Amino acid sequence: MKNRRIILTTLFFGFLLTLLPITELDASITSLEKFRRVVVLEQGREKPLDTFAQNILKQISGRSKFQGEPAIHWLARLVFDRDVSHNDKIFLITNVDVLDSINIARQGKARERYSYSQLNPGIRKLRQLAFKASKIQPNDREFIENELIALYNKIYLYQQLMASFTFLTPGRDFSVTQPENFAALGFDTTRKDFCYLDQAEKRLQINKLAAIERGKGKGTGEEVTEAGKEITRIATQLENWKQYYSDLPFTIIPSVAKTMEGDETKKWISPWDLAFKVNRVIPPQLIHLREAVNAYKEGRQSGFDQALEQFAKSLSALPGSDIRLEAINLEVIYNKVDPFYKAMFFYGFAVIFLLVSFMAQKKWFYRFSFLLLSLGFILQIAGVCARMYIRQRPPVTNLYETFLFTGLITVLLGIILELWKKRNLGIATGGLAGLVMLMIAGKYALEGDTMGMLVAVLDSNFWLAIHVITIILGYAGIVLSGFIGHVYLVQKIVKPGNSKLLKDTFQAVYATQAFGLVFTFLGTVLGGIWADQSWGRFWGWDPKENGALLILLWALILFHARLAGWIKETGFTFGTLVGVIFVSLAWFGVNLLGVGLHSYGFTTGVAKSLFLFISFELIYITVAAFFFGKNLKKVQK
Amino acid sequence: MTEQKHSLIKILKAGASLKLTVVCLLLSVILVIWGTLFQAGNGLYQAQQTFFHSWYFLALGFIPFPGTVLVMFVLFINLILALVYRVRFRIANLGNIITHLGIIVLLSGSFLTFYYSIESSLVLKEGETSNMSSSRSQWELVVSEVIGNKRNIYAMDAGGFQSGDTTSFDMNGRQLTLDIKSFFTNCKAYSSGGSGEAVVNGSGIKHLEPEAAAAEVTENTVGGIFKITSHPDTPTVLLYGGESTVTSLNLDNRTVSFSLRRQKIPLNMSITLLDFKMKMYPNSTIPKSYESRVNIKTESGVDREVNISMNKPLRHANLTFFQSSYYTAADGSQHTILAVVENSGRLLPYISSILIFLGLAIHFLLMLFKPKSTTSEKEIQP
Repeated sequence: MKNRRIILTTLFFGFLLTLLPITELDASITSLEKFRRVVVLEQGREKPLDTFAQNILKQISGRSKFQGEPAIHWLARLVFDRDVSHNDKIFLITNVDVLDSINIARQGKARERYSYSQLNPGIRKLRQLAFKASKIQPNDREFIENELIALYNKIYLYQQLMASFTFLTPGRDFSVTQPENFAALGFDTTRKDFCYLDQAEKRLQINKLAAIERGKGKGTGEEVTEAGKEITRIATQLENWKQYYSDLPFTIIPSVAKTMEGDETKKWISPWDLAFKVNRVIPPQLIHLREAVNAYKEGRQSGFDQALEQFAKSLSALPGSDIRLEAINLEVIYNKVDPFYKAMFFYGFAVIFLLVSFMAQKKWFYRFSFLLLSLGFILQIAGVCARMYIRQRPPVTNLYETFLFTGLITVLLGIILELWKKRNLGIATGGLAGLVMLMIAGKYALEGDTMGMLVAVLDSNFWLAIHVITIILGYAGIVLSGFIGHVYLVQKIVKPGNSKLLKDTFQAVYATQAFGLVFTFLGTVLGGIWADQSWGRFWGWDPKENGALLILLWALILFHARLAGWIKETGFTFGTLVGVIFVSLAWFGVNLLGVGLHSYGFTTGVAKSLFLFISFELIYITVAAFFFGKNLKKVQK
Repeated sequence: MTEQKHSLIKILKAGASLKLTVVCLLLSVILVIWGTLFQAGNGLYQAQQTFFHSWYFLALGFIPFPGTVLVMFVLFINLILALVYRVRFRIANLGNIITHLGIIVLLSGSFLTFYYSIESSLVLKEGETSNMSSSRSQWELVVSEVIGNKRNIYAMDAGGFQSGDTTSFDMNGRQLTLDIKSFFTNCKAYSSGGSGEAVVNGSGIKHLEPEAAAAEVTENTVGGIFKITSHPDTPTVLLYGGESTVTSLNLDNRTVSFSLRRQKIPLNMSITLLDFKMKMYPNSTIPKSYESRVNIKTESGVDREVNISMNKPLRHANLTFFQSSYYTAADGSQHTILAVVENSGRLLPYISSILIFLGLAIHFLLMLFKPKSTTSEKEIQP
């Protein structure tokens, strides 16, 4: 009794701990809480820098963390202190031929990450090769040509991000050495470092003086002095730098622009774009950012935090700054809690404890495992609800979310099944199915922003909710039925005499398959109606439509063949396994075909996983059938 | 009962067999898998023509295999016969029966759509008006002549044109006969080259090079070379579907123009594009929405402005206009691309969905409130 209480209490606090933010360890600045919450408007969505950093790191590195730290740390290093970040090994190279073609030494294994410093010597060659490759039609490109283009784009993005605050970097282009200029521009004579912003503040005077210098050059007879040359140099560089640093992706400054139609729409700009506009007064936003940059470099935590806070407050004066602050804050918390990653562990442990309960034959292992499953479910549903609040969309808008939602439903069905039958079946299948779904989702999460905006044709919350949710419920039912089917087959081989057990299990197989059939049917029909509303035809034999139809037809065959007497329980169950294969093909196999209106989720790792899964299922079916064949022979003898 | 009637009823009862249903469903599974894989390499249109819109096709070139239309037709008959001969009409079965009635309606709707619906597209520039849409895959040969202040236009479906055929027009009493020397369902046009036979063409095209059919049916451009045998002194005419100029000849002291164009389908209304609006998500190139503001006019007196956008089509009479796509021309002018569908069987899928949903709901409600003694399988005789 006492042991149980201790363990339950530990579990409870452990669960609470998972919700706490992770402590951050950094050399000088220990907390990036304020920096995480800076808002960036990019790809149509306002998001916290936290998410922005994760998405970019995922693209470049294939991971959302660098050396165990959240991506925001890497981003902070990149924009504030890039000399340090140049040694971060973040560029994932999967094809070493790419390195050879740009004369960079290979390092160790075939799939490694390289730093910017390591790749720097090859960038010029990379650019040439990438441009040449981009001239070829996408279908005619070799694999390595696509890799070269991809790597170049990643390097380019990195370079653009690292330049975010270079208007604060002292440089020779803007240095003042001549005494006349110190006076003319109002600088302290002891000053040695000058950056773009310093000179931009004096732009009006500089331009006036530069105009005079130009006049001198046109033969008024006056001598061109060193001071004059310096002024001309500074004025020219103020203009030149504009070419390199326009339209950088670090768009954290609210602004608006006019569209082709004449309406005003939000178009946020980078700090550089704001710096270009400076000609006498530095706007408060840049003043606060400058303070933040300096505080970061000098390791002053409170100065850093205060500067960013004031920066955030100063944004409300700018047009286009209306944002949903609660959604931003929720997203930061959501990123930190990482509910789906944690739910996977709860599901995994639930299954493990269930297996332990079989061996130990103690009731409370079972209860514990059920508790773990439920806690995982709570985490997952919280995550799904958070996403709904942040995006203001139904919970299934892209392929990634379909796995989150289906996982949720299968776990829920598992919990309900367990409460109904109490045969451990619900925990085992719900937990396993939930775990598998989240693992698959994890692969899709690595593609980039999982909260992207919806393209025009999908922009209908009503249909999105109804059609996608219904068909997901259908898929969940079919998948769960197949999972239980696996259990039934094992039970039938191992305990063929236990007819009560087999009857119960088969009831679960049958009921979940019926559930799946009904919802797949409804979802498919609703999809047809949606298609009629937006494309003009109810059914077009698109691969995704065909996939859903396939699942439907197969489930129909199982039910009707059983009624016709052609198959019995065992045959039906084997059929449910095939149904799961069809679901996986329809779900993400068709996206790999690359054709049709539904082609929106191609991922290379997925093809391999799909192949492995189908092979596993086919092997399982073959082995089980072999056992049945043997048993049948035994009976006949 | 006579022998014949006895055998007929036996056949009908056999036709109601559940086993036949399963066989048809299995064939459907094969067709769906096969057709989808075929589509990856050959494009949607070809896949539809071979697997989904056909009664049968020749697998491996010579083995006849049933097409989707045949399978669905057999299922349709099978379902009706099952409801007549096999199903027991009891309350417990009510949900099931309604569901299957809904399926009959669905199948009927799909046959109607398959045979009678017409899909076409309409491209309009801002400010442009049209009362005809263009077919996406069918072409026509157009001959026109101006008499006084009238222009007579004769259009002939080019779908059946084959090299070596002859076709003729009756132009207001005058006969015009054409020998189709060559006709290609997809080709490219060149201003030089060719076997040397002298051809006349309004855009200066001298040679047509046949190409394999494109995966997207809309990417095919037809071309043909025609000799006007009713007027032997006229030169051989070369026509290409992708040209915008007509080829004119002098026949019987009149100017007669020839061209190949996508078939025009009259709309019985005129539609003007007033404004095309496209909205992107801020700081991105992802389209958020696009819509066309149009004005429609009919002879019956309708004259109003309507917005057509994604998921919000315009429905008028038997026609439905959908916002399909758009493009910006080289001169910066915006064009809207509307999909136009004429389908009198449009409502049937909706009716069938309601029936099926109702049937399922009744079935499960009945199961919930029924005593747990009998299973529903006993209600249907296999």
